Amino acid sequence: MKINAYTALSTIDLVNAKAEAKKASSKGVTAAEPVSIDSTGKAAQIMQKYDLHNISYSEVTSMAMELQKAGAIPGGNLLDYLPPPEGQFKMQNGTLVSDNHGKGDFIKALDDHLTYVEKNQASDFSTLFQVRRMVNFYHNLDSLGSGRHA
Amino acid sequence: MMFKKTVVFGSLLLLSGFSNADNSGRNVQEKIIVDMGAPSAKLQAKQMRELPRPTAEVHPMAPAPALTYLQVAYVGSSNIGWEGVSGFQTSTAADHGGTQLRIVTEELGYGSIPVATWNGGVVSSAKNYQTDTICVNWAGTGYDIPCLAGQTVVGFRKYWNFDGYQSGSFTYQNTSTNSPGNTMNDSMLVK
Repeated sequence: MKINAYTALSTIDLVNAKAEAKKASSKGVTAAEPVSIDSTGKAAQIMQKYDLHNISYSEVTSMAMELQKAGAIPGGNLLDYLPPPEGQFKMQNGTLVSDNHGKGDFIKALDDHLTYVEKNQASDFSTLFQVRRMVNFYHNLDSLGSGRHA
Repeated sequence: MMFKKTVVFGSLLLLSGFSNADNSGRNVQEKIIVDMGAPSAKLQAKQMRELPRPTAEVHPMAPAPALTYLQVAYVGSSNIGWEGVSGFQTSTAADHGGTQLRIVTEELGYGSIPVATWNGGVVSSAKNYQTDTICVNWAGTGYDIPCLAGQTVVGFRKYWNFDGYQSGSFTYQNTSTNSPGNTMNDSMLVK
């Protein structure tokens, strides 16, 4: 899986990056992306609270909004990284409504989605791009939260 | 005595020759079957072309089902996230805003003349930036969005991009690919 540099920094990298940014600042040099460094740290903090392998959709929404406020959503484009409910649906009063109750493995659902699109919609480049970008993002977030149980 | 080849069938060469006269004076042909080994690849290919396929292997595809459902399903914005809207709503409940404004439509059946408008003007199909599939779930009790491997696609979820707007009026319609050629539509006022 391709790792997005924006959110792929480990905690150690983050400390080093902050030190480099401070050193650069003291020399009168503007650090490349100090905001992304800070936001990555905030994202790592936020991700300590969430387990993407056991999470409800409402929790995914809350998490994405927190990440948005922390400036950790690339470009601030929340809807590129927060899908509407997916999974099981039922027809209720003439409307398709989500039938997902409780928690599930969000990462696996995203992986399954990408696998399906790659196999069956490979010529739909726009959809493929959108889904692949989202999957990469959440894998990176998952790696940030991987120290949660340590 | 005549010696003539009559037919080649499979790996056998059937010869009919050695015409002899029987007791009544009629000519009688002795048939000799000679094993010629496996048929050539060229011959096999020709036979495969000429012989009809076993009917048990023919699976004619059913025509794409007509549209039976079309709805605006979600409206999303940077400030609110995604708001699910029911089939009875004509406007959003939330006050949307922010840099992004997206709309999701869902349709069951196959349509081939999609038309979307925003504030009265027909929008480019490029506004439909993502399409997910809808399938009947394995239990047959509901739907999976997106489909899982091996399922049959029965509908589509389409994502529309109206970034830069804070509000507006959206309509979407589509017409069944096959009979009865019905058109379904829905609209949503985004506040």
